[in-house]
Amino acid sequence: MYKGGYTGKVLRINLTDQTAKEETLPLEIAKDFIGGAGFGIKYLFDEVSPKADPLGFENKLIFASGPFSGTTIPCASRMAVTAKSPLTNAVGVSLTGGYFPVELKFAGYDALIIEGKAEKPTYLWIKDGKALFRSAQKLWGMKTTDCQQIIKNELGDQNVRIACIGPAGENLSKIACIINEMRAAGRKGLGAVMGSKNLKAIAVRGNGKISISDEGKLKSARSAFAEAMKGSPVLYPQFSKLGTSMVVDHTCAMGIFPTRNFTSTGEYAPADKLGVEVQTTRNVGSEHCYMCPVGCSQLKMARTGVYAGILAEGPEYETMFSFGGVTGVDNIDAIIAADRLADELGLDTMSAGVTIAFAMELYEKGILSRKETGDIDLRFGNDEAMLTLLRQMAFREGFGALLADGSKAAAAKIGKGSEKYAMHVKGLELPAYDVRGAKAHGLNYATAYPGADHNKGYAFQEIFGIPVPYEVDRLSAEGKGKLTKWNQDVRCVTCDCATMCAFLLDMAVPAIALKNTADLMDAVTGLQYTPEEIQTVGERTNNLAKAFNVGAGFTRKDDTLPERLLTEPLKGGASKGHFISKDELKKMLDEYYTEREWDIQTGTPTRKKLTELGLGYVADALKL
Amino acid sequence: MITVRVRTILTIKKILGKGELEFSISEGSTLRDLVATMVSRWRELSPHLAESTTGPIPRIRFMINGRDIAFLNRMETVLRNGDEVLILPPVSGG
Repeated sequence: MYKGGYTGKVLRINLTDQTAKEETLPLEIAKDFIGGAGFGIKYLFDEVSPKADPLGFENKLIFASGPFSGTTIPCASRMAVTAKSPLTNAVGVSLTGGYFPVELKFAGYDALIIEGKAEKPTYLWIKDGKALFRSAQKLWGMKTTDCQQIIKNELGDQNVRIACIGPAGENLSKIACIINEMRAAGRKGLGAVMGSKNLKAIAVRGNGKISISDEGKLKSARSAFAEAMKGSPVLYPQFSKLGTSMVVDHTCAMGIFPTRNFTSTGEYAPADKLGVEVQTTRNVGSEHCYMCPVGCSQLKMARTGVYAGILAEGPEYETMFSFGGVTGVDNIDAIIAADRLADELGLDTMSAGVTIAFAMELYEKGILSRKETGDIDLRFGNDEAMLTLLRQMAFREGFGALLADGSKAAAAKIGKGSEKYAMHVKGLELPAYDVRGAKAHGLNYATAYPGADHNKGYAFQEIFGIPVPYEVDRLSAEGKGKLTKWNQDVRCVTCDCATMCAFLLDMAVPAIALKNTADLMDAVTGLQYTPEEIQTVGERTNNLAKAFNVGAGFTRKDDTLPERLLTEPLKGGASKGHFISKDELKKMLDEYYTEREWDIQTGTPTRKKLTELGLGYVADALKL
Repeated sequence: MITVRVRTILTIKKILGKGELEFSISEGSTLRDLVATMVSRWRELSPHLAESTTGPIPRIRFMINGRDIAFLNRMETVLRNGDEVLILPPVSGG
């Protein structure tokens, strides 16, 4: 049935019954959704009720890579992990890279579906088509690096690839992540879903090879791709050496690097403390994902004080923001230490940092007293406090217990009007761009299916000035509905479904991404698409995710932004005076729903649109 | 004469030696005139400040008072006293 790219098999694991069943990957699913997030969202919609308790028995975790993973196509070792998110109650899709994604393919599977709940702490051992359930009793409580090492020792193979949770996931923190190597499926609390199933880790080893449908076509498509990579003025010249750290300098210069819980963006722009010049003094090496010639991950070592000697893979830009910008911490070594600690504990660095920053603002405003914080001085900039809280959050101890489930949950418990200081959309904490200076980026935060996820519709036109599909004025609200739909659908299919690195879309192939993906699909799998049909895969996936969210109770009123971004103009920097007014948001949303052919009043996909996308059964399920 | 402030980062900042400089230029000068002035003083700036002719990723990005020049008059935008010109080399990631 499959000429190449796909293994054609899905492994279904039932933790309750301790059974492992191989299923055929239906060709229609492969054609309609390609892989990765497409597979995850399709299986989630079809098998999990949108009303399910995300930490209950019924939720499922789907791990899926794409058809290019494990081939000679560069930058394709990516995987989407999907479940109903305990943080947001919406669809949760989190992407990771490294080596685990391709190892699962080599072991024989396009996707892994985890269902049920183990009676006791368990880890899965999947090797070349066989799956075993092993006790994780002695692993429970372990940090993620130790857990991975102990499993490798136990299995007698240092080349096993492992995805695991840390104490945060075990304690069901709704901002817990899943760690593989030193990578993370970071966001949406999927680590807590694993923890709720008593699943500590998944170990994988495979010796399979991925077939190619047409080697000649692959050579030609790969060559076009490689040319675009070489021609990029940023990919090899800058990004391979500096990684994402240079974005700190860039967004500080643009006045959109968020600081102190988004209260001083542009006014306080600490590029001198957190930017490239300082970060490169801590570089000790770089890491590559499987088959990636770029190697953007920078290994950094802290050099001073109590943090000296701590090594981290990163911090990436988002973590420089979450542990540096919004917390006001300007000690690079403390940020490296916090990054490493969050990875070891299995906490999403973004949600953890933004939640701590929320608490810091409350403390600065006197809404939280020192007595209430357990005697922790929570002023902005206190790095010791930040690290103390990370430990407390992972173990649900002390004041940190209040923050363990993210800023929305914390605000609900604290009350006192604190909700307006919690910087999230649908419960997912904001990423590292103050969208008062980038309005399509903001519309994506408001409308993306998982909440404020920059990677679901990144407006690179606004952030990096890339004129694809056209030039965009970041400070205008005009035309942003149409642009956001394009950004979301193109990114969804070319990055999340095809599981290719998103940095390639931004830096090398933005103008040819759809054609490039079509050519690679033809070469690798033999499945033929026009570029427009490729884009439709992204549109279909986004519509299906939205339909799940509608079933979970989300409406137009949830497609919004924190009050601060809608009412407080930026006070300084190159974007001074700008914000997204409520009227602008309304107009952008109206345009976005119109472009999507969704109901403008409710934000719900229409039967007409769903049917056009081959999702008529979804319209039936939603009773449209 | 008017005074404008130039801010920049990374490769351009390295060439200039600092991230912020002021320039005195003739009234009525355009952005193109300012760039010519800068290149005449720092010749190594020339390839970095040239407008992109190939590929979709711009090799340089200019903003005046925070606004992309594509929405002003591009390189022919007339500068005014006190304007801030932001020069951004190609950056991505994050």
